[in-house]
Amino acid sequence: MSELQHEPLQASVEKRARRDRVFLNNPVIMQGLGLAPLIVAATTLKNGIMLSTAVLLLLTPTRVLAALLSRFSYFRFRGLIYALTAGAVYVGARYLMGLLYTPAELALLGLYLPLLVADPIVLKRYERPQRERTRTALRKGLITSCGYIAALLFISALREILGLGTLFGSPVIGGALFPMAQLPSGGFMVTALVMCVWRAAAAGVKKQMSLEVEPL
Amino acid sequence: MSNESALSLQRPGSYEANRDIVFMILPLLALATFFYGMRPIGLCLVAAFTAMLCDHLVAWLRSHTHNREENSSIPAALVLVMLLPATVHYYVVIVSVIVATMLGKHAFGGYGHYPFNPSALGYAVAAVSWPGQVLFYPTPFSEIGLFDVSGVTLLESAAHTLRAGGVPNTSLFDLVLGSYAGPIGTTSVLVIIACAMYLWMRRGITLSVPLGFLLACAAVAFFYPRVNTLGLEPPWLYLDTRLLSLRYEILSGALIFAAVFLINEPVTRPKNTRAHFAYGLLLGFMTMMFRYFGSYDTGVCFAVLAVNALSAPLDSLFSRRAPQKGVRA
Repeated sequence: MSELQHEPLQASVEKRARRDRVFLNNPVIMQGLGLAPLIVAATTLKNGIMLSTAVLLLLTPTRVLAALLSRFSYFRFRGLIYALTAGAVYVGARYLMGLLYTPAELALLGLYLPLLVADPIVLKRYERPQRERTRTALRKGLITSCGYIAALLFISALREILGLGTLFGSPVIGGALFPMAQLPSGGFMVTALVMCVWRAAAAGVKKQMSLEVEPL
Repeated sequence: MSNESALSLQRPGSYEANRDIVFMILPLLALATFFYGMRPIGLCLVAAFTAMLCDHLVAWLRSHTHNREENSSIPAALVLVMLLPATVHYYVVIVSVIVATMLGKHAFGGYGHYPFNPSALGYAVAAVSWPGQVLFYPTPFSEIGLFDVSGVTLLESAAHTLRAGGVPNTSLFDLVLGSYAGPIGTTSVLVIIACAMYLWMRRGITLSVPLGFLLACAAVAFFYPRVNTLGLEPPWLYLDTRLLSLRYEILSGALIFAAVFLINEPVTRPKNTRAHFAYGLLLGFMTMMFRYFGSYDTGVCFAVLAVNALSAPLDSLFSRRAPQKGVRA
């Protein structure tokens, strides 16, 4: 295989890696998006599932609706469109969350449930100065949600195991290995550790993918 | 002046400075062994081994060869152990040393680059995670096994009694000799002062940082004593109570130990020597605020972490500015 043929293959590997929002280009691990609720509120797997539900209800509808509304408004006001859309979608999402969970359960998330509206993981798309097609918004909203939820569930489960020695409230190990994991400072430490390992694994996979397309 | 005496005045390199710290931990460890048996030695060995293991692990992860001349992790781990009680679990020591070495030191780029004192960070993590293990101390001459600490009576520290508004029931003689319930290596003031003199003569530490630190601590303790909850009375009244407060505040809560081993850490203190006294003053004031209003007895570690963040601004504040005359726009 010639060098000229090799270049497009390398580019296709990069493109595939960029599109994979779950593992190779996870929004939490690679871009540091949505860290505030992850660090403060995702202390147990139950909290992680509640936050995941909220993200699922909020992220994709906001992105699709904002992409649609941006077509009919001045594009320079796209930040306002995205923020207002997120606020409007949150009203419905909060109603559905109220049906799914009790007020006491939602109180565990505290301020970080409404703060999702202003989180970059929901609003970041408005920074790009190109209009987004509705179909693309739907696809990217769904895969970004999947990636965020994967990281959220993994880190919240890990924090519950390390900080309390339980999973869903049931004991899984003898005791708490690292009680600080329940605090925001411990959340930063656990998330940083997960990021290190995840990034190393992603780099290894990317290297393997590149080796597969290298000329013999 | 002969060549030998001229050489002795040279500032030691980082390897020698760290080695000196380890040497000066040894007298404190010997005293702790006298008070608590062999367990402090076991804790120190575990801490030093963990620190070395972390260094080798990071070198392997970064595909570097381990630098044998870089020995800063061992004194950091030993200083951390000196702040803990003799009954602390080995697991707590291992985790706190891992945090101190991997997160406090290597995550920021290794020796010479970290902004926060690794020992203080390790202690803060241990105190927040396991307060029941870290904030209760055995009395000297308790029967503490190398691996078994069950049945040992644990007491709260003198600093805790002060925080509760009481007066510790410890004589001045015991306070100076370190014969009271406290951390492994921070209670014996006399030995710590002897270590400080050696380190000062070797130019491993400067006196301006501890001087400012102890001055600020003494001023707060004298003018606003916690003993008998005196409040903001004129300073010439209740002089005996103020002196009592001064005595207990300075001699408890690992203040003297921190003044020698913790706040003088050459990487995290300001590089500019003219900022050292102000750094010490700020650190002393913050330490007393953490002790007065914080939840933990050894507030100095939390104060060190907070004030370490101000080292660089203090450096630039006290830097000598070149005269700018004749410069016009």
